[in-house]
Amino acid sequence: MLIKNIRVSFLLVSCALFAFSCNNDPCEDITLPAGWTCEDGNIVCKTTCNTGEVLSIDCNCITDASTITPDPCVDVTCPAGFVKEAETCDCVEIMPVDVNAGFLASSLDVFGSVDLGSFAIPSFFDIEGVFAPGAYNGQIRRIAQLTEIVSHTRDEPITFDIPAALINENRDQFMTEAAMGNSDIRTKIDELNFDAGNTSVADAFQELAAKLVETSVNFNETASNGTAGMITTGSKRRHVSANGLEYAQILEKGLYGPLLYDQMVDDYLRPSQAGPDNPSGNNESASGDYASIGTDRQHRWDEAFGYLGANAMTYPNPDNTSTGDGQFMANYIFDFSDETEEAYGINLSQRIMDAYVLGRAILKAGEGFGPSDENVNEAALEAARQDIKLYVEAGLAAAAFHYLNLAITDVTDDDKLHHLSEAYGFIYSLAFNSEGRMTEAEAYSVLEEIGWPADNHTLSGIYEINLWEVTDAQMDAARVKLDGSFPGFINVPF
Amino acid sequence: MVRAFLKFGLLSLLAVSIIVASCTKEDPVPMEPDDDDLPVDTTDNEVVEVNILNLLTNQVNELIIPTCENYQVKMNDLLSEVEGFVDNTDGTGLASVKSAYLEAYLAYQAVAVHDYYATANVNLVNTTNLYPVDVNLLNELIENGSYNFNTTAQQRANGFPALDYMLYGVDDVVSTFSNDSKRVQFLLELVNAMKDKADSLVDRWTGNLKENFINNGGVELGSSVSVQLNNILIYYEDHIRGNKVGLPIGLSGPNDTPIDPDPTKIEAYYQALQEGNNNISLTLLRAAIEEMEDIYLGTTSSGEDGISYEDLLLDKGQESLDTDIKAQFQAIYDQINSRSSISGDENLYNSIQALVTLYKSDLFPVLNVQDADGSNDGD
Repeated sequence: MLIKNIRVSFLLVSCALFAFSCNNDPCEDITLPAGWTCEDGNIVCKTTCNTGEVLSIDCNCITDASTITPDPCVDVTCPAGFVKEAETCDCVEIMPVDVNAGFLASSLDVFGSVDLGSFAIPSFFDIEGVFAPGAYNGQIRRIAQLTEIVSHTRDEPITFDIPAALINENRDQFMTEAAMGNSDIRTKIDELNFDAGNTSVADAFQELAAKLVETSVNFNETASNGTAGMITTGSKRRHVSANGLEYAQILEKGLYGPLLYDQMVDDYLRPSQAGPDNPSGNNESASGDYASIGTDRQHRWDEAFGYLGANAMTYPNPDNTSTGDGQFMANYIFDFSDETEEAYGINLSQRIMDAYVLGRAILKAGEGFGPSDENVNEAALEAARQDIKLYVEAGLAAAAFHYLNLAITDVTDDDKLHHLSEAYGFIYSLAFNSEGRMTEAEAYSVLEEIGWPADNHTLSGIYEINLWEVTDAQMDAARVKLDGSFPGFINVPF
Repeated sequence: MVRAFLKFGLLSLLAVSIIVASCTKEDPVPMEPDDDDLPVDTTDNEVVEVNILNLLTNQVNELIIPTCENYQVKMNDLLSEVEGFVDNTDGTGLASVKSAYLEAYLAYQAVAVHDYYATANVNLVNTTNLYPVDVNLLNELIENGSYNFNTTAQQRANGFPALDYMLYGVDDVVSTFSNDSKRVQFLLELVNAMKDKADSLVDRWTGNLKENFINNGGVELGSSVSVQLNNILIYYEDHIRGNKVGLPIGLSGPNDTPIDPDPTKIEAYYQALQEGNNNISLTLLRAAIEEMEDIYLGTTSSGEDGISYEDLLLDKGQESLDTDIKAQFQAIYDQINSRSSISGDENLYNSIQALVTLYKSDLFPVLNVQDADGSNDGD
């Protein structure tokens, strides 16, 4: 029983000092907090506590420390991701529940750790340090060119000559320094691996670019079904065709396919370039210019990396929530990596970077002076190559889902047209991987669900679609079909 | 290291057996002589086996390194004379400089043919002998007093062509130098830079590169044989056939459209102009051709016949090709000896071009060397 005398004493003193009208009941006029009562001038705590509990000094019940069994594992601290097992005091790994990598399983994970002897694998794509010599200037330049082209696609009207920029006519089309030089985008599209020298894809993009420039004169019109003009999403105004196609989106995202994606997965990463079938091998002597670009295989690997669009030192940068320090494909892959990590345990952007760094390390560690003293761990390199191809493809697919998802839930037509146009671009791009999960035929099959003509599996098929009239049901059917190649993506909140 | 050596040794043996397997003779070692063209050891009369390892050893020890060392010595001499001329800017000094300059220019011709590995990495050719010189650029650099002999920007005001102009391209060379301390400064720094490069070449070729070169066997792409043959041929086409002869007479390549001839584009143009004939240019040309021939024959620094491509051909029973190649070299010399001008008829050019055909269409295939001039899916 707790006794608190203070208050009563005060009152008595007060009575004496100030001649309050005091009576002889010391408990009168005293207001008490819950659990306290006044008995004969004493404030007592009347609360009773449960077993295992005791009264605290302010009349609360608290756990009785003497009833607690002391923790036998109190000295044991477990690292992150582990939990203490009470009986044995062991640290047991917290297994993620219900996260299965599924089709995103990593070939490198299966391969296991790669031993490169005394060669220390850097933590980033250290092309100027540990991986030197090496360079991918042409790729940087083309990405800069695409950047400059995209920066003009919402001009009102567009006076920048986009068709000329695609071929960098006279080598003087660009204003930004990074984009200037003896390269152009079209040449690479003309080299499509399974297009067998046919230039129709490049021609189609020239046509698309011309249409965009042409339609941009309608910037004073508000677009409607049948009328080319402007849509507005957020604060941005965008040119669309009479059919509601936002040319700029199909131009940019469509170019990811034949330029960035195809060059990476079907060209530079193939066995005869970065791989073991390269006749120039992985040695200094056969390289065209070892001092600048390294061995031939290293150079191909670097060029593949260049088309990713990632900052070699910092990608993926979690502090840059907008782009992760990546452009174009790298940007979009970063945007959806958190979702794939949560759903599959695979952070796409991190895994792609890891694979690129590891592969380059394998090539550096295994380079020779001549062909007879090379020593490349081909199996490990192949695992890295598989991871890159899989995860870049998955990143493009995630973007396609994202835009389909948005287009379905969009309330305004303007938003829907914008998002749907992006979706077409990404799905079209998925066709450009001859060894991908999604074949070209499958990509067009998805596109057909959202209106692509069955008899025109080329870029120009998109002009026959009226985007205003594409329905939610169609877009959902496209998602379902896409999910066939990327199982489970339909349920991921991309 | 030992393991590496064993590996190289084994691979060399493998290379030998591949080469020998294509021979008509069964017994690979040693060769029984049936004519006078024998593989002969240079020193103690024991027969040296015809194989890639010995070929490469001979190439680096008897051709590449000696030519680099000779160039180093001659550049040292030139620098010495230039320093003397700086102290005593007179006719005598100038004459000594000119004499040393000629010796150095001749020594350069042999080194430049080996435009691969270290020689290519130090960018010898592009910093030492791109002509015609850009006189305006040269004067500008002299005037500004700031130059970098390793930059692309300065390629046309560098090396021997710059010296050619400064020593022969003005009326009164001595006065021009006496009255222009900046010009003197440029001359001094230019020759110093050239000498430094010569030193660097010797250091590199006598370093790790030498062993790497010797042990990088076989004939596949990236082997030392492939690197050497492909790169000397590229040098031959661009700088011998092209720059020394073709461009001045208006022929860039045998299948290219002709361009305007320009006799001012010859090597050592200003000296030729002053002397009233192209003998200097032809002399320099001859020195370059001689190195090409020495590489083929394996001629050692003391003039002996070392193991080389000639021996590989003979080993394969390719006597007639060997004869043709040797004859073609002679034909080139005949053309050079019979003229005093680069321009004129196309016979000199044609004789030089004919060797390209022999190498590409005959020598390379016989040796299983792939023409590395394939299309590069470059940046």
